[in-house]
Amino acid sequence: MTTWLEIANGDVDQDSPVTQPLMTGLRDNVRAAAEGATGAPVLSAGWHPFDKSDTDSTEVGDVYDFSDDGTVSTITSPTFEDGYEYAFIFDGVSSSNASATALNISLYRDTTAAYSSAIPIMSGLTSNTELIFGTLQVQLPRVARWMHSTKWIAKGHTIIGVTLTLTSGVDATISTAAKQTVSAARFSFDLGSFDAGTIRMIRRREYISG
Amino acid sequence: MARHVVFDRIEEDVEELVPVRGTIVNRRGIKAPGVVFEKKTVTKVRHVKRIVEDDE
Repeated sequence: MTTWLEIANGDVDQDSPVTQPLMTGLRDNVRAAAEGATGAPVLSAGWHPFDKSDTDSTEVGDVYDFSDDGTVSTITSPTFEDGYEYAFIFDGVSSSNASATALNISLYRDTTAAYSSAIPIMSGLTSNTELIFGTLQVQLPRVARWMHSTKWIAKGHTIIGVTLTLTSGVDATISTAAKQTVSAARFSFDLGSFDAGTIRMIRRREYISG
Repeated sequence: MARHVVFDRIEEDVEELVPVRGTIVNRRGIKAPGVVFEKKTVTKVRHVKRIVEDDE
């Protein structure tokens, strides 16, 4: 992998010498960034943790981590920024209530200034030992539209113990009375609270909304 | 008592040295186009996680 060179302001200001390491860095940094070399900026066109700007920073996009946040009944995402679309990685998420049947999403509609009703993205849950996995994309939330939809881009499934594929995720569509943008997502179960697993938020650049 | 995860959006204006095109003067006093640095205010966005409780 090509080495990334951090070029300080003082190396390129007035009267700074054009040195061999500087010229090598200027030549190699494009390749180093394309390769995702340590220290290079994260390429925004590809999926990356929403809070990670350089490859050597430790952020992983944690929105919920049971070991840090404990049992919570709703999880509200950070605010979506113009120019990006978002996805959520569910890893071993579970409800505390044995009667829970659905994991729901609500999207915050900016013009209406309220969350949509809760719409299932995983239904048919049967147990509070059932763990949810998958990656859910919220498609182009910052583009004003009549409808906003979600899609499982790594298929959402659940397991109980070592039994695979008990339940499959469903895609949600939220219609609005006026064309508008969406600025956050909120997750909840129909019954009970989140009491296991992690949710991470990733994003990638789109060139429609900004 | 129900607990919720929420994020606060925090916008911070920070002063940064930003490279801009300008005119530099070399030691012989000859002007030429080059890179100069200007202090500019850049808005950076952070999201800070918070747990809130309510009586739901």
